[in-house]
Amino acid sequence: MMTGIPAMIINMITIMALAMVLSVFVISAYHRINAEKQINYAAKTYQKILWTLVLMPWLVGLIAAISLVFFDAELYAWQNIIPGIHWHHVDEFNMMSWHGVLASLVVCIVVYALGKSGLELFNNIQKTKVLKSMGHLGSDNSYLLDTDSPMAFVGGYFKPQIFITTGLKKALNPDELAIVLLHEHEHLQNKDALKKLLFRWLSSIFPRNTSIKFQTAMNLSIEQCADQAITSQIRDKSKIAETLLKVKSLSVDTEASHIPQNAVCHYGFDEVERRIRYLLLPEPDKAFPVLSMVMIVPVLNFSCTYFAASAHHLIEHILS
Amino acid sequence: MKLGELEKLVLNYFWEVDTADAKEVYAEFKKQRGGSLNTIQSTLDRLFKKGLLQREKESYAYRYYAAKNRKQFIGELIKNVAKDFTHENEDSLFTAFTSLSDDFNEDQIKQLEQLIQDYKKKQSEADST
Repeated sequence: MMTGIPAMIINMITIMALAMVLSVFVISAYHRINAEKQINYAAKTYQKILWTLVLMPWLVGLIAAISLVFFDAELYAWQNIIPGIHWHHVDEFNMMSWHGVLASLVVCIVVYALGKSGLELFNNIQKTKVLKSMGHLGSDNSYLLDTDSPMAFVGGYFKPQIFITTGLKKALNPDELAIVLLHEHEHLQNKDALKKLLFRWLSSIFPRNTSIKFQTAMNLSIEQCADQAITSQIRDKSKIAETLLKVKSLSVDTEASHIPQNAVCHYGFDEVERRIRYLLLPEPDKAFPVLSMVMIVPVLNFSCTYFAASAHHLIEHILS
Repeated sequence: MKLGELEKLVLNYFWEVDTADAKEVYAEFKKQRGGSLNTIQSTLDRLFKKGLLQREKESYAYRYYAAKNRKQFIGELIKNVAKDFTHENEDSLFTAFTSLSDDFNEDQIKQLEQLIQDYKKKQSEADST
């Protein structure tokens, strides 16, 4: 039997895991219903919505764990109104119980996921270094790679670099090339590759389909933001749209169109049609749904805390 | 994939020449950066194990040559970097996404070109008024 702070920490992990299960389910359902509404929001606003949604289960889990472990006495006082919203013996933990199995499972999954992601990240950094060493650094601070595949992208997470292929450079005129490089510089300045990676990690707790939908939506908003940002330097939006269409047309039927865009930010992908429409048509102005979020967060917090406590009692009851 | 400084130099060398054995490579790099024949032999072996060089035995020695040319190697490396952090099972979903891209047919291109033309027209009308 474990007691004291270590027991409280493992109890918190168990509570967090239980609370996150419900919040992931609710948020996945919410996103499934509302996914089509992306077109009503400006790209920056939708990015904020996506960050809020993927962060919510973590926040809700943490609040549920803190509430049940540190405010157990206060919650116990509510027993008459909301029965069952408390956690037995927060400063005791028996590893040879279902709590132990659940906590061990969560810890194993987290350690495995962190180890795997860490290794992938390390390999990616090494490969990007090789790519860098194979390229020639140009005066525009981008690396020119000698390959026919028409691509421009930002690679690397902590020290991102712009890479452009000779295949793309040859196919574009100087104005189009300037547009592509400005777009990539936007990704570089905003550390978009790192944001994508962080977003991917946070969203990995969702079911695979939902996680991919979140990432696809995030990729699109990131690209739309980069397109929009360069309009401050390229006033004629039609030139940006034409370049986008040209790069896309070049990519079709080449190997470049089969490259996943999760690990890099690159020009010419990400639902080009939606990007062109977003660029040329009036920008949607629907505001961040503050009211919905203000209502959802406390309700979800309470429901998940209650769910964690109730699931705990139910399992105890079944096993006793 | 991790490539050491000497490995990169040797790989670049093989993109310039057709084939070479360890002694020829050593003779080339001895002038440039010194080192021993053993170092060159182990570098060639590592590049062979990484699949970047291929070799054929000629009497008692191996003759090495690049498995891929420079353009192929860089193209595959880009693909490799981009594929990180995606899982095999995701391919189907990404394939769906990319197949949408592949279906980016002439009609769609024309539609988008029309959209751009309409925008230009509106802009020039707005500028003239």
